[in-house]
Amino acid sequence: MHYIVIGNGVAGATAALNIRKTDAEGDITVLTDESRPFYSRIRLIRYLAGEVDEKKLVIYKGDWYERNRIDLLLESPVDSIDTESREVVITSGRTMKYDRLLLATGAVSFVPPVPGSRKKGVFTLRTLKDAAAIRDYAVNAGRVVLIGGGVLGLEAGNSLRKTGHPVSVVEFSPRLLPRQMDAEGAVILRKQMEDMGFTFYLGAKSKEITGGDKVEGLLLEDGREIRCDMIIISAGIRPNAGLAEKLGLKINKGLSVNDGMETAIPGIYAAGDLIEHRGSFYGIWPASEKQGETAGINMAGGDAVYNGTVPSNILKIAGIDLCAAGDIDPEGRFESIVSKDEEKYIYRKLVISGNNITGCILYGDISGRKRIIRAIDEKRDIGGIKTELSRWNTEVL
Amino acid sequence: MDKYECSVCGYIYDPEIGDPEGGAAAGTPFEKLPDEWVCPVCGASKDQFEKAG
Ligand SMILES: Cc1cc2nc3c(=O)[nH]c(=O)nc-3n(C[C@H](O)[C@H](O)[C@H](O)COP(=O)(O)OP(=O)(O)OC[C@H]3O[C@@H](n4cnc5c(N)ncnc54)[C@H](O)[C@@H]3O)c2cc1C
Ligand SMILES: [Zn+2]
Repeated sequence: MHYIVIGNGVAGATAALNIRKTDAEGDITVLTDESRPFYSRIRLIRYLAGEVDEKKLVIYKGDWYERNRIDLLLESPVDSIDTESREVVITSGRTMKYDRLLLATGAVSFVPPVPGSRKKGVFTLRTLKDAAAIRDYAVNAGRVVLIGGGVLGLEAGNSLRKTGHPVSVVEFSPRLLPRQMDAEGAVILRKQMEDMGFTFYLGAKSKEITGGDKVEGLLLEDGREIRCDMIIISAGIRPNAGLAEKLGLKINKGLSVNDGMETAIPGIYAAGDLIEHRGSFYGIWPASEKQGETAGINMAGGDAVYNGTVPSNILKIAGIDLCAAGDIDPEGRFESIVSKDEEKYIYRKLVISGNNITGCILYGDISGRKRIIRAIDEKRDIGGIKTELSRWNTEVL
Repeated sequence: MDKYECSVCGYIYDPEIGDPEGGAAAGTPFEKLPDEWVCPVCGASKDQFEKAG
């Protein structure tokens, strides 16, 4: 049996490990277009701030692949897949036969159609190569603008703020962290981050990146221009679905798979940021890892089921505790329990639908986070403990 | 008892503190954490931890 895994992020590496745990004999090949073994994208934020070096980013080193008898081929982008002959074609022209194949090609940064985005000094952040390029360019740059005020934008902005750059964040939505915060909480967060030195342009649409060869500023639709030396676009991600599309597979928010991580083509599985499962596109590490595990077990003949993940994000900025999970109900359509202290930068909200907690925003005080997320996941009946919860006693969960 | 570091996010598991919210009482050595235990910060699995040096 020959297993081929395309992509060596958390989904691909975890799948390879689980194939090996399930099938001690089969041949496993992992193909990646990158030049490093499996590393942490999450830690690229710390790398940007100069707090960890490249070596520290690597999660599974070369000897891990040897120990698990996994062939890792670096710098080997897959160009196409022939399902008739069951062959993978690498860009170099080399072909390889597979019996089971995993698509774990992840996601790519979305670049909105803003004129000027090809100028020198405009970046996105997804890979180590991207992060290294940002670090290099930042050495000779002053002001930095982030296009996109989501988790990635704020975290990357914070890293550059720490290395001495004045940082502005331009967000299309009228509030920061539109997917993790409601309007009331976002106002407090904005204040806290302004105190740290950030400048914000909210409800602002980017019109054009100005300058000659190099970036000199960002022009907004409302006519304002922000002068800067560097722009990082953090406007979300899209599934890296080129290969899947070539196979004629259908892409919605991501590539659709069933609970066993199978695509519509027999023998071809998919996992990670590439996929959509039961209508959800996650784009987060723990979901990708679980999907990789499920795919790996099933490729090797096991019988694993992926039941979905409660989407949750933690903002990793020192001095700010912020976590959001599930449905944060920014429109306030559901019942909720809210506790707020603007002075202390605290805003907490539990979203309640019937007798279930369906989501939460925990800002300034994330105690009880795990209990709350577990209660969301298990659809715990909280009918009898609402009074306790309204006093923020989360011990009862 | 050894401390372990999450290689995904840098979180350190200190057995003396444990992870009470995650079901690990203070004093639980890393090796004794259940297989389903995940990093309280980033959600990575036990496989992605290594001994903190
Ligand atoms: C800076 C940053 C911070 C983040 N922080 C968090 C966080 O705090 N919490 C969280 O949950 N998530 C976070 N994420 C998201 C998380 O990293 C992703 O959800 C996760 O990496 C997805 O894993 P994956 O294996 O599906 O895809 P990826 O990690 O994207 O891996 C896919 C791999 O496939 C390779 N590939 C693609 N096409 C081909 C091809 N044709 N041939 C060969 N190889 C190919 C790619 O180069 C890549 O190496 C962050 C992401 C970034 C960039
Ligand atoms: Zn972690």
